[in-house]
Amino acid sequence: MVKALGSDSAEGLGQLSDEELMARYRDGGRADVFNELVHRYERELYRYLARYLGDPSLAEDVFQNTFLQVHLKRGLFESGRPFRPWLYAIATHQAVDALRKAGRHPTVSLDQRVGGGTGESEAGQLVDLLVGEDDGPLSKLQEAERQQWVRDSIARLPETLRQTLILAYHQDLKYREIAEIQKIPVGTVKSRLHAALEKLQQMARAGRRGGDE
Amino acid sequence: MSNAMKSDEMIDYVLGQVDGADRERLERALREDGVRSVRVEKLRRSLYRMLDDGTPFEHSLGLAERTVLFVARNRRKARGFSDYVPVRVPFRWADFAVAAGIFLAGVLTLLPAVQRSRERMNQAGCVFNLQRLGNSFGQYATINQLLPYPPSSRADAPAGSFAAMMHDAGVLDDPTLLDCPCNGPCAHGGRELVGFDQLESIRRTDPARHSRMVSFDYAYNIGYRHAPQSLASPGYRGSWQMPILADQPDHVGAQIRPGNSPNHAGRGQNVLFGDGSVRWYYGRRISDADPDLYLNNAHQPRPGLHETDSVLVPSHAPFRGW
Repeated sequence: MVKALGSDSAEGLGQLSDEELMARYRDGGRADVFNELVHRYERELYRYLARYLGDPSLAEDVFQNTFLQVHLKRGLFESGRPFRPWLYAIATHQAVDALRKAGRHPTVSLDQRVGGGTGESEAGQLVDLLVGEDDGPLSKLQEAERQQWVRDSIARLPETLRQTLILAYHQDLKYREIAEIQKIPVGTVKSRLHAALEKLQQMARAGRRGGDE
Repeated sequence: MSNAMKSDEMIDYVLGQVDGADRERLERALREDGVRSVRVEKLRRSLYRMLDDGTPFEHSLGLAERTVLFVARNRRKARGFSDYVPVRVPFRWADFAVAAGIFLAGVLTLLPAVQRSRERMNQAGCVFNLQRLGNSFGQYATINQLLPYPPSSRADAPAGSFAAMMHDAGVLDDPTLLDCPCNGPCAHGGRELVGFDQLESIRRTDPARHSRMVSFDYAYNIGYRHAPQSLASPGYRGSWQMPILADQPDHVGAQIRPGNSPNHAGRGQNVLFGDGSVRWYYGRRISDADPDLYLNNAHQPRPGLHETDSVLVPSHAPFRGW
């Protein structure tokens, strides 16, 4: 990181892919390359960590530790493998560690569906549930109330479902990237995502019934 | 769902998981199917309502720069053992109970094994003592052609006097051999060995000291009565059938109680034979001719009724018997 700058300008580095940057940093250890990577993921990775941890301050600490691990483990980065899932996997491990150290143990619910693949009939039922009611149970809430409900409900999801949902919906990662981060088959990613949506839908319906009563 | 778009494809499409040619195909299908298009739009709205938390999560200014500095500061720090230890481990009674339970289970498992090991060690120590005394008896018999035995006029001397006689002959210098390690260390502290005449003198002047000097853990063969008024030393023929020394019997005063020696908690007794061997007996029977190690064939703690009727009495019992 403290080596002299190479011939690449900042603009030149900006043209490189994440994988090329990481390979250069692995091989040369140049500070400007590392800086480029950190800046490139500053917003995206922080947003993921903050949402996952639910604590902006802790998210910044984990963000810094994640890139420290990127530096320490740079020799393990394999050329030809995508950088983003590798970075997210490190960040997720760091986040889980941070939660444990903070006494907030991530838990895995036993009733979550984690099997590979997702059946068309189940997906059909889920879609029917989601589009079946005219306005949906959440449409009656004020916007601020609805957003608070979303935050609370997602926080109540089992750990793996919550992680998958955030990566897929809020971080816009592809299934194959999530599969690589979580070291599970793509089918299981879809299964977890559908399970998360189904649980949220159940929570919304249960909330409405409670309100009706 | 029509062939053009399945339900899971619809979810994937709304979540932005479909790219390239597949996306084009789905968009074409939606343009052609108005009902499906409405359904997809409803799904999109439903997911938005259920998942959008409206929180932008903006990082503080300069996070990237601070991160670069943080890595520069910490990159050379080697990870120590403490880095692998959880930072905060709150005390929990459940952890304590588990640890205590494991410790207790370990102790309960090990304790009998340790006890058995100690018993085996002491048992081996007892055998070792008797074997060394057997060597001394062999040397004594080679010199004197008989085992230690007092003159007829001193038949009231305690059986334990055999040690003094062996000391006189120069074949016994270590008094610790006279203690069986199985029943704990000698209660009298360091035992002293003196010659037979000196022992008899102490008997008259200092009975308490004399009593301590002849109180051993082993019982000695007091020979047999070969005539109504005449005692005889146990014949030393190097016989594997003739007991010389054994763990002392359980006794109260002059009465020999039933059962095995208390030296080994009543489980049995080690017996030293004339050929120098030491054998373990679970009972007092030695042979048909000698049914009781500690009593003669008249069931008395007195010299045997014949040469093969061995009687081993506690060391403070007189040669003429109780």
